[in-house]
Amino acid sequence: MEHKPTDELEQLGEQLRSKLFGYPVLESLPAGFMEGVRQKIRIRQRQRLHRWAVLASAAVILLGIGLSRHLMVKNAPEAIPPQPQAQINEFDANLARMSVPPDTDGKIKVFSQIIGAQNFTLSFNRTKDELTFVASDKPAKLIDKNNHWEAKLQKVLDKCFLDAKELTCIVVDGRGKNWSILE
Amino acid sequence: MNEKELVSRLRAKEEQAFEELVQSYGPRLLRGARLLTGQSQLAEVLVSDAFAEAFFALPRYRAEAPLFNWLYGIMLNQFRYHCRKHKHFINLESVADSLEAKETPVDDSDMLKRLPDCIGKLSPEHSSVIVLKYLEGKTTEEIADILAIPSGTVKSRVHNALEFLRKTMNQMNLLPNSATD
Repeated sequence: MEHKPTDELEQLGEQLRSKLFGYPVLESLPAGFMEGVRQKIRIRQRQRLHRWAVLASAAVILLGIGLSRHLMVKNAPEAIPPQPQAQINEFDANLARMSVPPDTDGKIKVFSQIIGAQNFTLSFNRTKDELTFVASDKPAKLIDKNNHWEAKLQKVLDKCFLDAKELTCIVVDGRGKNWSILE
Repeated sequence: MNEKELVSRLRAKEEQAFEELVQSYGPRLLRGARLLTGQSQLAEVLVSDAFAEAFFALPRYRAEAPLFNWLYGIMLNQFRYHCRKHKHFINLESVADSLEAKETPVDDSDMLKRLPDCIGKLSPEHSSVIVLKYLEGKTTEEIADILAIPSGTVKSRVHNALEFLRKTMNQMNLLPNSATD
């Protein structure tokens, strides 16, 4: 576009200003204009309400989905309990009924029966009152999905060697890794 | 009419106040919209849309800006939205070149009638600044505030729009010195 000197454009601007000065302003609004505005407001109000309703519905649906997922996750361990309470109670009841001989050899015998370990060594240091249990695998009878076997083992230890001053139990798995040390 | 009082009544959701707002500013907004669009009916649609928009936007109105400027800004937004929706994109060069020159010069009243045609050929951004500056007599700063653009942009848009109008109006023999140009 060809550029004209600024003063020429200013002159045109002044011409425009003077011409547009005469551009008429309506003395009053056209008939029905106000009603038209009111109608548009009503339509927009409805649209807004509809939009809010849609948003609220979507929010409720999303909240519902989120909540149900949360509950599913929260309830999942309860739905498939790895160690049902009844099973734990049964173990405790059996343990309570069991009588343990007062001598150490008898205690060791009962201990090994309860835990059902196949490959293990159990030694009792009389001077230190220290019991050392080394197994090449987790005790067979105490294995469960929830890894409660450590607690069970502790219970068996308490039952058999309650009078010992200090008990040390070392469980070693097949790879020689220390699983746990219970005192 | 006290503008502050009107604004406080509007904020109190007084129905009568809104009607006063429309009655007071509607005619001037319609004049601007008619010049921008060149059509009375479309102008009415744009201005009524602007008032409906303003009704919901009132809580966001900054009292330091004049109410009329604020309403004008909304109306111009509606205008730009309408142009975008209807793909009102115009290449200034091509339109100016395609216009055929009139053989007989037109008089003042004819020029006034044909000005909307010329302004309507501008892009919405350029026609908005022309209407605000030369019809409404707004300053560069006021235009910048209404359109939410920098003052420098306003000046360059005014300059480019005048260049285009000069060429268009010359070709339509709407300027006194058209013959010599």
